[in-house]
Amino acid sequence: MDHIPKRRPQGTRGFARLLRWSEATAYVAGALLCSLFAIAQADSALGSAHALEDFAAALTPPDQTLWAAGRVRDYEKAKHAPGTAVAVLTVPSLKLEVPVFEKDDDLSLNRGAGLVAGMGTPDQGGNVGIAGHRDGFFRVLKDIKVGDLIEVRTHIKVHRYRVTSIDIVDAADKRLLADTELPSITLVTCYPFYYIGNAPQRYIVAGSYQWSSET
Amino acid sequence: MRRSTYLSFIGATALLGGVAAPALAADCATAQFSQEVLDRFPNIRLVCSEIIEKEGQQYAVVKGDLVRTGTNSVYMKFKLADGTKSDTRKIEVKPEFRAKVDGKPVSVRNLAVGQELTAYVKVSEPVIALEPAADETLVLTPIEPAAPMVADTSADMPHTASALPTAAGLGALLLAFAGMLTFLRVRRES
Repeated sequence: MDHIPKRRPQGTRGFARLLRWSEATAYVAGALLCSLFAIAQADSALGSAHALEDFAAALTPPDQTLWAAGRVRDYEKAKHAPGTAVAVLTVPSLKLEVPVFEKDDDLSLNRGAGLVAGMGTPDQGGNVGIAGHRDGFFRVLKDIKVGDLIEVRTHIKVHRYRVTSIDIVDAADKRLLADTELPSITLVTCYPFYYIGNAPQRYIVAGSYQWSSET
Repeated sequence: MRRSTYLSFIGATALLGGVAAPALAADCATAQFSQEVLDRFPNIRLVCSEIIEKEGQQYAVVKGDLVRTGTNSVYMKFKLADGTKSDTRKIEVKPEFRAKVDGKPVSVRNLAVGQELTAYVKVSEPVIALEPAADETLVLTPIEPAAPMVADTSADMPHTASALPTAAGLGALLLAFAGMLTFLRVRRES
């Protein structure tokens, strides 16, 4: 007796096709999203390491005595090119060392921390704002304590700050970003540290400047 | 007798000379600061480290820490004798000005907070100048008692959460869902 294949009803076949299509789509989309994350993680690790290396190299400039004036100018310009770190932030108690970029855009924050636009800078003074991802380099800030040392090394000087307060504020509350007469630092990241989506609060670490006579 | 009188005369002259000598060379305690200087810089004697003469004028040398830099100005806090610091003072500079930092000329743009700088306060007039890197004419500006202008907060709270972990979580869920569909399909077809 010939084997007669079982014919499924039209509706069942359509459903099976839909499932197959969903399966393929889910594989492709899932793989794409996971790849995107993996690429971003690789960019974060490599970008941060390269930025730290470039910054360290810029601190010990090569012998320029035989260089033409144009070459010296280009070298100085390259030190401040977009995408290069303007400083390195270190918190010894947390073993945190991260490059600080001029902007706090997504790419910069993926590779390190960024200066908050509209706030002071380490060399010029005022309230220096530095932002970082809570699910990236700044997650360790959950363990920071009042009195801990924060160091910011620029091309000119190492600035030292001592943590004076740790606050959790509403995401719209900008009061702690206000300018200050004396140099100070404000580290900003999202809060809660473990949260899916846009966190409703901000974790603010404030520090006051340590003059060389105080350290 | 005559010899002892002579020696006494020499001794008295030497003693008088010794007493008179410091009165001739002005120091921070004896410098004749004008009333205007004392009004605008009341603790000038406490921050003054020495009196020097430059271009025929007496200046009090004051050392302090850089607190902030502006476009063409610097803000400093001067060190008092007891280790504390004075109020913040603003000093105007020209764009081409070069300050002396560790003996080297540095433009205002390249100065950094916390660096020690030297300034001169004119004894007879309430004006102040930053020590230039080269031996050039001082750029004197009135002593301003004001603290640095604190800018309004124009900064917005930065976005400090990446969407990538959420994307990765969603990706993992989709892969798990696809795996489940595969499992069901294979079971159904076998």
